[in-house]
Amino acid sequence: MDTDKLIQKMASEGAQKPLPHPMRQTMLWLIGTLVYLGVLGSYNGLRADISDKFSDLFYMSEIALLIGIGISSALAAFCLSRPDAHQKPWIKYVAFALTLPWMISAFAGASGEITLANLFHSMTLGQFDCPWHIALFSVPPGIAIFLIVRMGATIQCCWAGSMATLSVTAFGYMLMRLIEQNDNPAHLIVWHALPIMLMCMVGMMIGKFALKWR
Amino acid sequence: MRLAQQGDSKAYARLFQKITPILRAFVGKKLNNPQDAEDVVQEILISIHSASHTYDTDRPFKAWMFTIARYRLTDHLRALYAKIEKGRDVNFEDEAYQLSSSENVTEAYENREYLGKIMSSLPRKQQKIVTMMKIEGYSAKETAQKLNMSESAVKVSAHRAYKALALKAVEEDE
Repeated sequence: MDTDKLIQKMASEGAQKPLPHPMRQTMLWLIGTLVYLGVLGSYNGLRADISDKFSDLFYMSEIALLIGIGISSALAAFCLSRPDAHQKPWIKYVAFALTLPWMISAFAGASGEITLANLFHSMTLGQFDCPWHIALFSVPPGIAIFLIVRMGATIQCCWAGSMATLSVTAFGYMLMRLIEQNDNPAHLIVWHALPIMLMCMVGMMIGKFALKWR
Repeated sequence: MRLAQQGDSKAYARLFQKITPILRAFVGKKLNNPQDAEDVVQEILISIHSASHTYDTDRPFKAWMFTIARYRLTDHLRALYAKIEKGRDVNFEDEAYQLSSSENVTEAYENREYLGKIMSSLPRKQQKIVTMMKIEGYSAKETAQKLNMSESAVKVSAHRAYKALALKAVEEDE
């Protein structure tokens, strides 16, 4: 087709209505996710020592950092749904920057030592219910975020998929920390943090196929 | 783009008319073939149109546009290199089509002669398989039944034959 005719055809179709700002998308998604997690939290009941934990600085900073990771990675996923990533190339690294302080607060304040023997022992316990719960908590908000990101035109689809998954699993992890009364760092590494890393890799692969702009 | 997003189709057309020469210059730096370059420019224009909802009018337009242009150009180059790598730019479907549809008898004869020449470099069995699958139009399954071979053996043999033919064609061209 001749380029001039193509231009006339596209002009007659008109431009599409712009998507909401990524910040607005994040806020809307966040409200839905927090309502969902709130319902799940009230259904499962919070851990028995929650009032003591609220006075624990490490625990509170861990929860705050998890929320920070969840929000920043959701914002990154929504920015990445634009071809130019909303002209914020740094946005996808913010969640990683928060990961180090989170690790310090999560594992420094936990009871018990992190040794290879402890990690191996924790692995043999086969506590699959933790990653299973995190995955279950994450699925509905995960579907929602993937659908919203898909409405855009993602060029960095692996990044977008992993950021979306990191966001939902960070909130799933946070809910598990509010529900489960287990502060053993070996358990947290083997049955919480490592499965989240695996889920992010799966999210990256899903992103490659589900979010690719064709 | 702001006006276009508000429904002004004239502004939208003006925008496309304004960016087309910029895109032509951008693509022209990477592609020598003017027809290929124009195709890529059109692909970029279509992509800009289909992603028009992702543009935030508070952000610079050119950065957004060039990201899309680079993406589409890379896509095109990747497909081109893959094609060259796979068949060294010789498509036997196209060759067969050219033979059957060519209006110019001399040209058709030359094409057939050329194809016959490079085909003769293949072992007899592979020649038969390529002839049946690409000229006579048999499927891999039908070819396998006719030649009393397994379907997978036919596919493997055909794949090797196409590769050998492509290499031969490149040698001939050089």
